[in-house]
Amino acid sequence: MKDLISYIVRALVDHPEEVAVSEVEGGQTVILELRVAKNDFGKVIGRHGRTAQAIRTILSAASGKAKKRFVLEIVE
Amino acid sequence: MTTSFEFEGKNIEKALEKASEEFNIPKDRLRYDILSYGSSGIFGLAGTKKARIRVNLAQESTPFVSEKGTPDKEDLTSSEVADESLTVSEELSDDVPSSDQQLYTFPENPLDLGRVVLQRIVDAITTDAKIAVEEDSDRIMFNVVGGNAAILIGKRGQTLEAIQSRVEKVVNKHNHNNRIRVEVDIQGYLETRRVNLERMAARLAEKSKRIRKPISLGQMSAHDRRIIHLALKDDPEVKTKSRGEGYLRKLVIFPQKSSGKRTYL
Repeated sequence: MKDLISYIVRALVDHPEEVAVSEVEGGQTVILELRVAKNDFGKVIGRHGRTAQAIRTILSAASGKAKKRFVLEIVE
Repeated sequence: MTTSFEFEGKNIEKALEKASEEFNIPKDRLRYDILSYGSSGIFGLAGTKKARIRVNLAQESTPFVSEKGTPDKEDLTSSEVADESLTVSEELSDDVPSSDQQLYTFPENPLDLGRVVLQRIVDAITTDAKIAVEEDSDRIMFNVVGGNAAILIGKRGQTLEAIQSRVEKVVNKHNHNNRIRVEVDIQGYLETRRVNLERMAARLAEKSKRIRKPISLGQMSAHDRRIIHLALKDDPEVKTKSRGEGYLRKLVIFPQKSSGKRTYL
């Protein structure tokens, strides 16, 4: 799941080398913390959070297969 | 590495006390995130919720940020150097350029790029899905066949829409001036939806004429609205307009020739 997120985000940003995703496990849910370069922030979040929303939607669809809930947090 | 544990309590303070007892660390030295503040409900009776915190136990020597390099390493080890020995992967992770190799794994050609990214997303959601590609002069159509279509489409096409917008963004990352439209269809879902929307449009147009009042349709994507506008374009007795902004944008069907006798029942 971590790979999926970093893959999608890398394809999207200007500085793929600065993309980092870390996992925080907690019972049923896993929190994915995404860090990107400062000027890629807007790209990951998108207008009115549309990009972030889309990534979260894909994540929740993929959660079914992994039998776990995934939460995406974009960390400054 | 950090390990994290969750604690619950009547309020944040109580949860912290529990945590500090558990690990024998003074409260003010705990690193924690607040998951929920909890609420005492009405008069402390109905609807009480516990406060929840997540405590991160980090070794002093390894600050949290130090994880930054690890995803690159794991990506590489899992996909490209999976069968090589551990030492090789560690060498790779030491020098930063390893992530540049990641960069080159994205094909230049928009069609291939879209296909690779789409396949990757689809694989994460379901298994055994194949992608067929068609290309027009200004747009690319991907058709996903096989796999669990229900999950791929999502509630009212939510997931499908998200996937499509993602792939479109990626494909158009480099060319700003001539945008390539990307359509993602999953086992004919788009076509079925179009037919359904057109049918609904015709029905609502009839209704609007009958009751002589405008009918508004909320909560639709731009694409769905467009289908309805086009469907009712040739009907002279109704007019369609979109109103509002963002999520509140609605499509309104107005009956024309309403200046005649109004019969309110």
